[in-house]
Amino acid sequence: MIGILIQPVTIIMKTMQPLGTGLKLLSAVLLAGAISLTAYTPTATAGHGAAWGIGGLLAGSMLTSAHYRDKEERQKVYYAAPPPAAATTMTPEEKINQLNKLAAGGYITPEEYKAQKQAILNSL
Amino acid sequence: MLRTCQRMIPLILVLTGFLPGVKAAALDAGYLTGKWEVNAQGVCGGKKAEHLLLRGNSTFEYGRRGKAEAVGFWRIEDDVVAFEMLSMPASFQDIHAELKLFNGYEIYRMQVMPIDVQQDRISAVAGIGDLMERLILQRCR
Repeated sequence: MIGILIQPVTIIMKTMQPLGTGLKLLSAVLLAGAISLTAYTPTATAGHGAAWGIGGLLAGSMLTSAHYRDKEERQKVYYAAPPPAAATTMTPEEKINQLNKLAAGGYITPEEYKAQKQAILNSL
Repeated sequence: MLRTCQRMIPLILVLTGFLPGVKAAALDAGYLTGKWEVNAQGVCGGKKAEHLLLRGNSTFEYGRRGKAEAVGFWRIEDDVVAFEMLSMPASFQDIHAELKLFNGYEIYRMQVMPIDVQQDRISAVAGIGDLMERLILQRCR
């Protein structure tokens, strides 16, 4: 492949013998660029989409944006989460109501319920 | 004198951007309108075919294997073709399996910068966000 690219450049360089070195170099660079563009064959781009051109690009972009969107969502949930309510701000009545809900939901045992309720009453 | 002129021909060809057999074309809406196959390996509509259908009313369709997977609008801005499209990430799960988790449609913007524009073939660089890809677009007849 390299040989195919270099051969025409060499021939043209010989035909341009009388020209200045700078001009020859410039034309060689331009010719090599033009040949490489003409000889370009699409190949798979590793990482985003194997043989698909626009599809691979689109899928790669979707994956990236989905990743960031997911990250943003997680951050939103994290920052939007209300701070845990301080126990001291609740009145004894609210505490007992909360306790009743926990007991009704089966989150605490009857023994724990009794002990916690007693503690609330004792604090009055 | 004649010999010198003959020697100058390759240089003139190079400097003016012409190569034998290559015919440059102007990038305008009339030229772009039509169906193009992306990275065509042969005739249009193969099993692995990927197409861009650019309509004269500024809408377009991108598809794979004959199925539309993105639709939207296209326009030319300073020699760059800009596309705004609606597409569903889940339909690209064959490329990235993780995309099956993302249902619903999303808007994407793609820019295609032509490098070499010929009568029925464009060599270009396409970009979406930070990602770029070299493309060859071949006009379907």
